[in-house]
Amino acid sequence: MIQKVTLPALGETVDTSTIERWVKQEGDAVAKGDVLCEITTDKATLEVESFYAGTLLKILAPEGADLPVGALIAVVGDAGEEVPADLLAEAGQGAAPQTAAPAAGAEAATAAPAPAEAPAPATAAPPATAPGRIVASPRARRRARQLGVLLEGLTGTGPGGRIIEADVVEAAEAASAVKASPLARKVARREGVDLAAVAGTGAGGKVMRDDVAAAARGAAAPAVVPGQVVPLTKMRRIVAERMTLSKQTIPCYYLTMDVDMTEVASLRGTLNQKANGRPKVSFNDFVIKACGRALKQFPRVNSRWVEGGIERRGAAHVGLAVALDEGLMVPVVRDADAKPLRQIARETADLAQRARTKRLVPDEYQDGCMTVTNLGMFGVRAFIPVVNPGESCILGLGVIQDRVVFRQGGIQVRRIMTMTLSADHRLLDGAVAARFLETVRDLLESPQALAEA
Amino acid sequence: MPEIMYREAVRDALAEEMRRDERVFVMGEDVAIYGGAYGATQGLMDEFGEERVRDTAISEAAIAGAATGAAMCGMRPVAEIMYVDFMTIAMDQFVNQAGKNRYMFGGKTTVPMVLRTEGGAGRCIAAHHSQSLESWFTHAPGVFVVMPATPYDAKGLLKTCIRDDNPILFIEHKMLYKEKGEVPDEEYLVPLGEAAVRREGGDVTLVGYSRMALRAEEAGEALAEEGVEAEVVDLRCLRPLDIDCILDSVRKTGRLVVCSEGYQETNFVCEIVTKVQRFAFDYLDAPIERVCSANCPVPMSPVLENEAVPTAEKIAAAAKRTLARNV
Repeated sequence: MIQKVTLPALGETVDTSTIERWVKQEGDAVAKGDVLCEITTDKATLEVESFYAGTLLKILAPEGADLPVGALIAVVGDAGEEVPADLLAEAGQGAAPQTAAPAAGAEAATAAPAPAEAPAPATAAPPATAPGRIVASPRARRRARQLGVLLEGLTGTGPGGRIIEADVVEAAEAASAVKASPLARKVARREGVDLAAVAGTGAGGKVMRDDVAAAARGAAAPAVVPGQVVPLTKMRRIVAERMTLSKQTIPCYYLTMDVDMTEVASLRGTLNQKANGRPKVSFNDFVIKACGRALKQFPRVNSRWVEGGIERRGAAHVGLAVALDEGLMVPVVRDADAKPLRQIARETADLAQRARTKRLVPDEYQDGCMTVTNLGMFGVRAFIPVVNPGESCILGLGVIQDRVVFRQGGIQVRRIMTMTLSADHRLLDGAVAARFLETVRDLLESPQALAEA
Repeated sequence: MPEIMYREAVRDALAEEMRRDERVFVMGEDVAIYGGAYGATQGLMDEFGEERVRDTAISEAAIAGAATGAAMCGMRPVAEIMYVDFMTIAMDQFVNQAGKNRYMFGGKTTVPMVLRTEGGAGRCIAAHHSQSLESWFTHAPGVFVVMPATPYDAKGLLKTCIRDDNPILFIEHKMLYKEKGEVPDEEYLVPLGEAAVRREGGDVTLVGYSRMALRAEEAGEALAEEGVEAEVVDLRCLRPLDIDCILDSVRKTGRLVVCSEGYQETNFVCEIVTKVQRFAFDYLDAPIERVCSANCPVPMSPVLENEAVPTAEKIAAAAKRTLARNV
């Protein structure tokens, strides 16, 4: 039976998406839930799954086509079934003009072969493609999503031939087909460096950590063609629009305050000694939790500027700015006030990782009232961040450094961090913001309470 | 730190709490003059007298009912049921009266009582004296179930249970009474609902309680010799359950073996399996394995008895099934 596959809606703010890659080809057998293709929005890469079982009869949107939500992109039906002409016509209207021509051409070229080939897979398929679903553990699927590894074609070595996490990790490493030290691989994953492109200086050309670090520095200054105008990626364009909107429409003011992070540093050390393989708690995680707690106390900060007024929020959702090669994303830690630090650590690690591989779903980067952004790791002492329009404020964290301070009449060396709050004056006045910031500071200076609940 | 036996730890907990709070008293079959079937109340009558250490008639229903009534009247009874197998006779009083009283009277009464009992196989004393019936009680709302594996936990948990306002079934293990372990001289309490990680590892999580926690630990040592690092979680309390500790461990290892000396089908560990698949589904790398006792009355023959209950070898084998790779 002929079934239409349309471009899914992926969130309130997404109205077009680009076909990134067809995973299934015309003539392929598909099961319910099989991934048909991958699409990209301005922020994420997502998989389109089939709602139907049958054969992928016709692809109506070529890779690279940018289409509106709801557009017809493919037809699934029984093997050999004819695709009705009116559907082909609908695709012709639905697709952007520049894609209409190749689609029509492809239709002419494959109209005859497709039905002719269809019976062949039906009989030859069983041994070749092992029909039915891919057997993989949930953990392997999760890891594959993180690493961008396709499960198709992997050999499972787990119980019953199931694909397990180790298979996925090994495939990802084999795909790079490079000899590299484990530390180099780890750094490469973190920095987003392609190991295959790195010249190794270790024994037998093995890629070492320093090679990856050098490559990461080199990548920061890529070869430049003078005079070349680089077209904007979707993300670059969104960043440009949002930040310009912020600077042009938001009357912003800036509050700077020092916070003594000595206690946080020692508590963090204790916690991480007991991490026992779990994600380590970062300074950001402490700040996120402190902000969550403070948001609960200050409803005026826990608000968003929306059409028609100021929206008060109940839950304390805190965004974390994550730098990417081509821009940045702000995944949101939900209910940051109520979660244990370890859970926040686990979530931020996971969200940042998936932000870098563009695997966040829209719900994971919407709904925040404020953002935490940290440039301390680059040695920045203080900076003025730009408010993400809609949010009430953004907190910029500088480097934590040993500074000499006066305490109890004497001189002491403490771990001090300077933080700067940029706030939208339309919904948040200076005195409230200052008290909010003071509360965050107090929470960080007596952090035991953050660790306890 | 001094080493004492599990049964001494139980006795010390009782004595300390009786000295601390005069509302605490002990009763049960042969607990006073004889000192308890497994010697866990030895010497108490000498110190506290027959009023506070009471031998009762052979009627588990009467023991549990009297304890329930005394608790409602403001006492803090610790009653002993000689074998968990005999809890069937005490069940109505414990489950229907003690467990529901606070709820049904809108919180106007509490029932701060502890039923101490013991279970488990190992002495070839057959089908009426060797069972592990904790799963019957984890099914009952309103009661807690606590099952310590070490002298340290036995003492610290029993003291906590006596001070708690809920009816609690405290199940000791008959094969552990003579086991020794370090117990500090100074006072301490072990909180309810907090599991203990007995061994850390990143390859597979073994969850057990009571004697099975020790066997899981043994299995962990054996696996380590083969290069497999197992993490061993001792639940200590079945209710309240420290599910977070289990979830944290499973998120780390991706593999789980749950162990219980109770009968396999509808065992309490099935509840753990349900929660793990619900809250850590995306972290599982292999189907969860359970290692429980055979679904038959516990045999009297030593050979068959050993065959019927989980051993360290069986636990290690289950761990290997979760780790198997057909390379």
